[in-house]
Formats: sequence, C-alpha cells, structure tokens
Amino acid sequence: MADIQRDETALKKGTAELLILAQLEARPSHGYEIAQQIEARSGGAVSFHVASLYPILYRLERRGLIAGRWVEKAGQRRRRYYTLTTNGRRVLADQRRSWRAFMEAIQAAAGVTHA
Amino acid sequence: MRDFRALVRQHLAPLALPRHREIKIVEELAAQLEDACDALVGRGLSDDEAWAELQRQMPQWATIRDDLLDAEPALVRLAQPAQDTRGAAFPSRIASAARALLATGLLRDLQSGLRLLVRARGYSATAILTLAVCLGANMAIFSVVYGVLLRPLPLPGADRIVALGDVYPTVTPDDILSNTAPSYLDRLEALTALDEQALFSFWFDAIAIDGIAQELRGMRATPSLFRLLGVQPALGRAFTDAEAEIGAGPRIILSHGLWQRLYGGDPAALGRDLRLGWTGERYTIVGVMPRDFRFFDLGSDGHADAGRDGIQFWIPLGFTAAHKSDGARTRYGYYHIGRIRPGAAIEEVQAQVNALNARSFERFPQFRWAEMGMYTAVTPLQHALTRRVRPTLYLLWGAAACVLLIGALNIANLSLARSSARARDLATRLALGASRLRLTRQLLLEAVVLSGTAALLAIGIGTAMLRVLASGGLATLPNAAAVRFDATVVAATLALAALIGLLIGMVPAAMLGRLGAQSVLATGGRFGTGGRTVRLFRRGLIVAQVAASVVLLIGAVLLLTSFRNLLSVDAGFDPSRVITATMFPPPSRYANPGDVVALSTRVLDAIRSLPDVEAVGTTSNIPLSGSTSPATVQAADRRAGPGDAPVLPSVVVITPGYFEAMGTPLISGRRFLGSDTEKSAPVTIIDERLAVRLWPGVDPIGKGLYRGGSVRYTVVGVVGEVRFESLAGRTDSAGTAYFPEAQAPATGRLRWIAVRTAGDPAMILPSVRSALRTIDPDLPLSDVQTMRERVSQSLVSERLATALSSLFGVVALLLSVVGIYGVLAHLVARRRREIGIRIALGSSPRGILRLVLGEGVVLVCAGLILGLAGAVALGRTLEDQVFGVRPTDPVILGLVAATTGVVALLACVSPARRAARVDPVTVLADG
Repeated sequence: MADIQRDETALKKGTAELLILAQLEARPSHGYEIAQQIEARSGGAVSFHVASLYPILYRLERRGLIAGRWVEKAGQRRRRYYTLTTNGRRVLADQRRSWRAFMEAIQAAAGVTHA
Repeated sequence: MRDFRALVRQHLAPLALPRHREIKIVEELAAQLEDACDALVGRGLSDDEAWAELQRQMPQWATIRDDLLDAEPALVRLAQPAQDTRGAAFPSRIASAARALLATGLLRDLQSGLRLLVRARGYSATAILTLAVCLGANMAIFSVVYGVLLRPLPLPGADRIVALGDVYPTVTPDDILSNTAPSYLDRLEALTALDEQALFSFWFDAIAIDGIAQELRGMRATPSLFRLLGVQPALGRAFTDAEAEIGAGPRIILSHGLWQRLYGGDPAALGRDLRLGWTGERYTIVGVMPRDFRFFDLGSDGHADAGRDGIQFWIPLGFTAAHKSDGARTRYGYYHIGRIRPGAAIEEVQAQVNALNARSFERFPQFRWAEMGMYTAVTPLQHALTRRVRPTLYLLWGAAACVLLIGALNIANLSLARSSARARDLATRLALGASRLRLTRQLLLEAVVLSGTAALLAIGIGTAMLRVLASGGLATLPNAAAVRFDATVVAATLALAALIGLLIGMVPAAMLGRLGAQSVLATGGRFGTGGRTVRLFRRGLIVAQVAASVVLLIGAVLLLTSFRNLLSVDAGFDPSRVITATMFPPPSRYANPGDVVALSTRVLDAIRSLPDVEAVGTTSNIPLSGSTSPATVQAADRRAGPGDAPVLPSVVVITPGYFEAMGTPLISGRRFLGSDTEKSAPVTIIDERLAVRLWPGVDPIGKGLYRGGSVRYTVVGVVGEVRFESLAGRTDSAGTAYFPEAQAPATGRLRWIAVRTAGDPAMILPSVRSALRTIDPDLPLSDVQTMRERVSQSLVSERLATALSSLFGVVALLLSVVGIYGVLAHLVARRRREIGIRIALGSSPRGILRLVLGEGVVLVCAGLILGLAGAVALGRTLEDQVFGVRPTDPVILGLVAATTGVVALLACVSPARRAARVDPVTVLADG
C-alpha cells in the first residue's frame, strides 16, 4: 500500500466522500454545516477546511449522489443546501459495507482486536 | 464589511470555466468562508481576529483548484464558448485545459511509474527485451519494405511513370519489360494517354583506366528519357533530339561517379572526347548527371545487371532503317517507359495499347502473336521493378508482424498478471477517492514508459539487424540503395511502440474500469483477476500465441524444405570446379560474326593449353543467368497447323567443350565436335524436354528442325535439361536447342567462357586473364564467378527469406513458451488455496498434476487447431514461394504441430508439479 501513503490527499478525499454522504443522511445541509458536523462527530479528529470540501461536493453532485439548490431564508445569506439523492443513499450503504469489510480486514491483518 | 469574494478570488486562480459556473463557485466558497468567519466571531474572537484566523487557516488553494477542475465534466472544461473567458483564444483554452488535465501530478505519476518499473525489475526487463527484439525486427524489415516497395522512386512525379512490355504467356510469362523498336515507334503515335515516352537498353562498354580494360555499364536511351524523368544533368545538358539522329556525332553523358573517376570532377571535362573500347568511337561529353541520380535499378534478379554502382554513362539511342523494319518486330531487348498525361489513367494507356496490338496482330499475322496469346503489360514503374521480390518481402513483413503480435500478447499477459497482484492496491486507492482517470493515466504511463524504453533499444537492434541483412544479400534487391533508416522508419517504429504501449496499458486499465471498490474489498482477502472475462482473456491470449507460432513455424519449415529441395535439384550442370566469365568482343575490331568465332577459337585454344584445365567452352547463355533467348523452332517432319501455338525453346549457341566444362550430361547421340563447321552439315543438340515436346515417344536423333529460316538442322544429340532462369525452373518451359557457334553465329556478342579445372577454379583465373591479354589487351573479362557462386547468388533471396522466417519461427515459439509458462504459473499461484483444499479433501498429487496439465493441454490444443487452420488458409499465398513442397503438406503440418505441442506442454510441467506439491496445511493456515 505504498502508493496510499504517498497519496494522503486521496485518502482524505476518499474518506470525505463517505463522510459527506453520511452527514447528509439525516437532513440537507450546506458546506459549512457539513464540515462542522464532521469535526464534531469525530470528536475533532477529522477536520476539513470548508473550501476543500467543495470539489468533492461538486463531484458528488455530478455523479448524482447529492443534489444542491440555492436557498434564501429571510435575514440570512443565500446558501446552497445539499440533499442526499436515492442513488446517494444506496451508494452510502454500499460504501459503509465495504468500509466495514475493509476495516475488519485491516484490524485482522494489523492484529487489532475489538475492545 | 469584508469582501469574501475578493478573498476567494485572491487565492483561487481563474479556473477557465464558463463564466456563470465560475461565479457560482466563487459565490459559494465566499459564503462558506463567511460562515466560518462568523463562527469564529461566535466563539468570542473580534472581527479582525476572526479575519486573521481565517487567513491563517487557508487551505492549499492550488490543490483545491485542481480538485475543482477535476470535478467538472471534461466537456465543460473544453467546450466553453469563447466570450466566456477573459479574451483567451479558443486553442489556448484547449491547451490550458489539456495542461490542467495533464499537469496534475503527471510528473509524479511518471516518476512513480518509473519507480515501479525499476522495482519490478524482472518484469520490466522481460517486457522491454521482448518488445525491443520484436520491434527491432519489425523496424529492420519495414525499412526494407519501405525502401524497396513503398517509398516513391526519387524522380519527380514517379507515380505517373509506367513501364510497358510484351508478355508471351507460354514463353516468358514473367517478363513484363521487353519491347521492340518498331512497336515503340508505333506507340509514340497511338498512345495519346502518355505525354512522353522513352525507349532504352543497357549498354556495356569498356574503357582503359590505368592501362587495364574495365567494363562500364551504360544506357542507350532516346533523348526523351531525361525529359520524361524530369531530371537534368548537374553539369552541361541533356541530349537534343537531333543528337539521336543517325549520322549525328556521338555524344555521351557521364554519371557523377565516372566523371569523378576519369576527370577528378573537373568541369572542363565537358566538350572533351572519350573513346569507348567497344564501339571504338570517340564520344563528346555533353553532360554529367547529379550525384544521387539513380534510375532503373532491377537488382540482381533482373536480366540486365545494372550493378551496385548504377549506370555510369548514357548515349543517345537512334533508329536505323533496320531498327524500323518489320523484321525487327520480334527483336526484343528494349525497355519502354511512359509518363501518363495529367487527367489520364493507367487503364486508358492499357486500352490504347490493346487497340494498337489488335491492329498489329492483323497487320503481321506471320508473327502469330494472337496464337501465342501475346499482350502488352502496362505496369507502374516501381511495381515493375520490384515485382519479383514483392511477395517475399510482404511475407517476411507479415512474419515479423506476427512475432511482434506474439510478443505484445506476452507482455499484455505479463502486465495483466502483475496488475492482478496490484488489484487490491488499485481498488483501495479507488475506494479512497483516487480518480479513475488518474489511475488509468498512471497505468498507461507505466506502459508507455516501458514501450518507449523498448523502442529506443529497438532502434539499436533494428540497425544491427539491417546491417546483417545488408551483408546477407540485401544489395541484390531492386532499389536496395533506397533502404535506410530515415525519419519515416523511426517514426513508424515509435508510433508502433506507442500504440503497443497503449494497448498494454489498456488491458489493466480496462480491468480497473470494472474494478468496483467493494467487489475487491468485500471478498475479504482473495482478490485479483478473479473476473471471468479476465480469465477468458488470458486463456485467449495463450491460444492466440500458440496459433501464431504454429503458423510462423509452418511457414519457416516450408521455406526450409523448399530451400533444401532447390539445393538438391538437378539443374543440368555440375557446379563444382567451374569458373565462368563474360567477354564482349567489340564490333570496332570484330565487325563480322566470323571475327567473333575466330576470337572464341583463339581464346579457347589458349585456355585449353593451360595446366589444370580439364575442359573449356563458350556459350551465349549461362545456366542461372536469369534470362532465356527464346526463338521459334519447327520439326521438319511435322508442319504446324494454323492455330497451333509455336514451340519456343531457349536457343543457345555454344562451342565444342562447353558441355564437358559445364558437366551437362549427354543422354544420347554425340556432342558438338571441331568438325561441325560452316562447311559441314548443320547440326543441333536438344535437351530432353524439347525432345519430348517435338517428338514425343520417338528417338529424335537424325530428325531435322528449322529455326525460322529454311536451313534444316539435324539433331545429333540429346542432353539433360538445364535450368537457365533459376534453380526452380519453369514447368511450362519448352526446353532448349543448342547450335554450334561455327554454324550459327549468335545474334548477340556476349560470350560466357566456362572453364572446368582439376583444382580450385579461382586459382586458374590469373593465367586465364594473361592468356586473354596476349590475344587482345583491350578486351575486358567481366562478371567472373565460379558456378558455385552463381548457384549461391541465384538463391540469395530464398536464403534470406528462409533464414529470417526460421529466426522468426523460433523466436515466436520461445515467446509462446514463456507466455504459457507465465499464465499457468500465475494460475497455480492464484489457486493455491483451492488446490490446498482439494488435497486436504483427498485429491492425490497426481490428480492435481492432471488438473493443471489438463488446463494447459486444452489451451495448447485449441491453439494448435487454430494455427493449423490458419496455416492451411494462408497456404495459397505461399504456393508461389515454395518449390517442391505443397504448403498444406500433411507431414510438415503434423510435425510442426507435434513439436509445438510438445514444447508448449513442457512449459506446463513445472507449474503443474508446483501445484501438486502444494502443502494443504501451510496454504490453509495462511488463508
């Protein structure tokens, strides 16, 4: 997996896809909310600069996994809210499954046991 | 109020996306930064502090920019309307978009590609070497094919020049370049589709250089030749039409080489006189041709040997009354070329010449052209020159391409095996978000780096191979001077390498396409090229390799067999200890045919008295000369009816002693004697083939035959059949009639002297030369070769083809063996677990051995069947290339298939044994 170590951004980006999809599972959010949620739910272990989320958001949107629309609420700035699509929901489930398998494999390989 | 848009703009370089899209992106990013800033204020920071903190936390904007571009559809990136960007020109936008696509990590990918290749040294070395050898062979063959067959002749508008020639299907079916002077004069009027025509013939002459008579190769040509070719002398001028008139002063144009040799390149040579030994006339030099001027190189296969040095001089060809007479209508020996008028097509020329011939057939029924099926071939000049070698060269090219195909299949297979080992790595990277495009690009880059390295090596290998070819008789090919490595050849090789690189890279990349992250990861541990398609594909590769090897090997064995047959053919002479040379008695000193006969007699007497000489004689045509001199003969006791095809044997004029010198066996009757003179009864000796043709089942001794006129020649002997054109001979040949020189002076002056010696024939040469010098010091002896050398030279192209195809066949087989071994070994490694379970469940090692071998046997057999089918299908194209063996010879097909099968199965043994030795405990414990 030497290539992976050399490709940290790819790692982060790949995880980010899953993380973003997961944040949108409950309710539509805009970019900054997503970044905050990730940081909060991971106990601050994983954090993204909001700007670096955008390429991923756009890509997910292009692949039809999320849909963005501009919303203007009274007294607030115009923001773009992203919603998980049906397709996105399915992919999220898939990715969760394979991540679980992957993590278990890593744990088994690395000798990490469940607490 | 802070301007967050300006902040974004300040950091994010323009994306060169459609304006509305770019505005949206900036707006969204700005809004998010503002949210972030607000959040910082919410945590108790002042407005300024929050602003500063935001600046401090700024991410890697360059990366974000790349990622943003990555996320946009490629089409949007490229196809935005022009007014959307800041005045950038469309091409530059494409360039910048392409650059964006390429530049993101291209260098890094290239580096990591190189690193991987270095790390996988065994794989890289195998792949690069295989590819380099295959590419190098292709490059060498291609440079020959391109130089000889494809590159246009170095003449302006060469593709519009055609050659004409009368073909007599029953006599000289191969000769498409023979013409007569009267038909040329007719065609000048009739062929309006040609805007220029020229007639020429080779002209050998002699000149004394440093006191030694040396032969020169020249051309006698109508002045129109230089106009037609569009080439002017570099110095001086071409001939005027008036200079070809009979009675005009003799003029000569020199080649650059001869001018250098005679005058050291002195321009003052123009206007000087040069005396040619043969005609004895003084020619005024009017021009010198350019250094690189080359025209009409027939190679050594043609009748007239233009030689490696090319033509050394040109003299004007004019027409005497005899040339124009109807009697000259069968006097062949001229080449006729024409330039097609703009707008006309070659078919038009053919139609016009056909119409002209139809009129001539009626005008001259005495030549019986219609009965003989005579027609005039109109052929593009380059095609006419290279016709004989064309099939062989294309065949070799095909073989080389086949080897390359096998090599490429091998490498594809190797890289597939390797990529299955990397499948998990790739799948993980994919799951972690590396873009498919990037991974594909990296795989392609690796392959291109590999094939590029191979291409560089291939240029070296190809150059070396071409050098070997050159020493192996390449120079006997027509146009051989045009064979060289040039930009086209190198470009073709590099393009081929790039194509193969892409193909090799596409295989794992295509697999990547189907590599779903979960499919690999979810299988827990067993991953790799488990896909059915991939397995099928790899097996297909093996089948294709075996099939291609079988085809190549069968071709090679057929050529080898054919070559052996040629060597053992009874050519009608005994080539050991015979030396031959030609002499041209010049008309200036030997004006009458009787003078030539007297010269022959003196020369033969002088040589006969030398020690070690067993027999000596002269002939007007030597075996394997490549040409024949057919003439009509008639049996005296059987008048041919109208409509009967005339019998046209080769007519050869010899002296007593010739058959003994050449070792041609006497079947019955007697040989020519010194007593067969012009005063005695006319006699002839015929070969077995002509005897059967004229008097089937009857003893021909004592019969009479006519040779055109009314003189009756009595057959006094029958000799064995001699191959004049080549060792392969012609099955439809009418045979040969021999006449004694004393009774029938040859039409030409060319004489071959054949000397049979007791010892080494080359040792006698100096004394032959000095004997000749005492008789006529101005008479050059040329084309000196032993008969063995003539035999060997007549087989040069066959030897070349045989050697190359054998080499290709063996390389193909080796590559296939490596391929089969590789695939099976990989298969076994991948199925270790399954094999372990089988053994644990009670399979015997023998059963496992059978399982793996069975897999190999099925693949090899499928390949063998396919290969045999291919060989049979291709057999027809080989039919004209082989001698004494059918391309579908069942013994050869069977032997090659059996050999390939055995060798291929041997490659399966080692992996199969490894499988049988699998220890179930270790394997299952690992699992």
